[in-house]
Amino acid sequence: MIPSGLARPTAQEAAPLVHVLCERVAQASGSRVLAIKGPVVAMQGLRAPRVSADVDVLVHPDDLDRFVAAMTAAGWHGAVETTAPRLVRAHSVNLLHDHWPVGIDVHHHFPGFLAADGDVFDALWERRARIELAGVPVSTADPVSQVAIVGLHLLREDAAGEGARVADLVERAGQVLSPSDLDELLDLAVRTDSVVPLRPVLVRLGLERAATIDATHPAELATWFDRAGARPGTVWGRQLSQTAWWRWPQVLWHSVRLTDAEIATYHGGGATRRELARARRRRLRKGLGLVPGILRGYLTGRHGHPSR
Amino acid sequence: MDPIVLDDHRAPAPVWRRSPALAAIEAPSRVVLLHLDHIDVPARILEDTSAVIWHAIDGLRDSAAIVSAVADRFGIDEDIIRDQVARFLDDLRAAELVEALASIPEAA
Repeated sequence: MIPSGLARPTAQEAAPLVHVLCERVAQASGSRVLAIKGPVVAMQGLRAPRVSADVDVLVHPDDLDRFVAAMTAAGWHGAVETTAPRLVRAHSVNLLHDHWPVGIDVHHHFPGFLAADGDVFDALWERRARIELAGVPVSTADPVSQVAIVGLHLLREDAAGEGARVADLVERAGQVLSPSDLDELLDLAVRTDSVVPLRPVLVRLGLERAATIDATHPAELATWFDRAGARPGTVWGRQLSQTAWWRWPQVLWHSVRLTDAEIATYHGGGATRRELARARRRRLRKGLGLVPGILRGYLTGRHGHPSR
Repeated sequence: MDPIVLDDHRAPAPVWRRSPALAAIEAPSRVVLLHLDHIDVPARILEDTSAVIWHAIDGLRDSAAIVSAVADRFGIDEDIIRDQVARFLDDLRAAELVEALASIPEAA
């Protein structure tokens, strides 16, 4: 008569609990972990509340293996790895659990912070705050750090910062951050070498000095703009540009085919051969629309990065 | 673990309190609980009647007072739910989600 049991939480319920779970695992394993983005940012007033499909944490790169091992011991497992080439190096480990309806993106690098990952984490860790989720205090990036993190996340696909989400972040940050917070934001951006990637946000927040500060990691900056200017398909064009022409059929075949696990997990395939074949046909039809992106990737791969 | 006997007059009735090692998402008719010492155990979800009982566990009430609060909430006779509430409290105690204390702690 008393209904109770082991049904799954909703994503909205799960997000704060999974952050708490990460905090607990971090403490038990001696890992430095910060909650970033997601419900924490909404609580800090930097975005409207919404339900996410995953939660994000940033872990010190030296603690990554230890933290992931401890999460694995708690029943979490890695998501299916993609075999597609990447424009940027892997920056997170995606963890899943059958019981929890949200995954965890465990970031050990956050694109746009051009300084060394350990130095970036140290800068964010020094500023960390505690916020209560599901009645439990959790270590999180403070509002100043979150503006940088969320800003970089949004600018990754909107480098000029012209979209509505960047405008919303700027408006909210202008309300949440004090003048001294804004100065600290610029200091943090300098320390983590993220001024240039973050420039559209910083300048709009009145930090005009950001327009005159250059990056100190030019190779990483080039990669940032390379990724920010990419279109769907660009990565495969880049792969072709780095492959001998007689191996192109193999690359193109793999770009359509991928692995069964990838097709099933990320491209709407199912468990049967027929469902996988149908998903691959859909992917092929969609792939024809990616030709401009593939060409761009090929040309920039052969002739260098486009002007910015 | 001995079951709680509600009509036992030989000893003071225990007071029920929630485990301090919990993360909880609480709404009036649904509660999701994660035990921080057992994070490999799936979150426990309490709905409807169980959620109402959960809300009555405040660190001050004994079993009889919890039965009374729940009966009041639903406008039914205490005798109808007494055994079920007792079983449910035992179930929560077995899962270490609540504790039965001999008396109300001073901090409460």
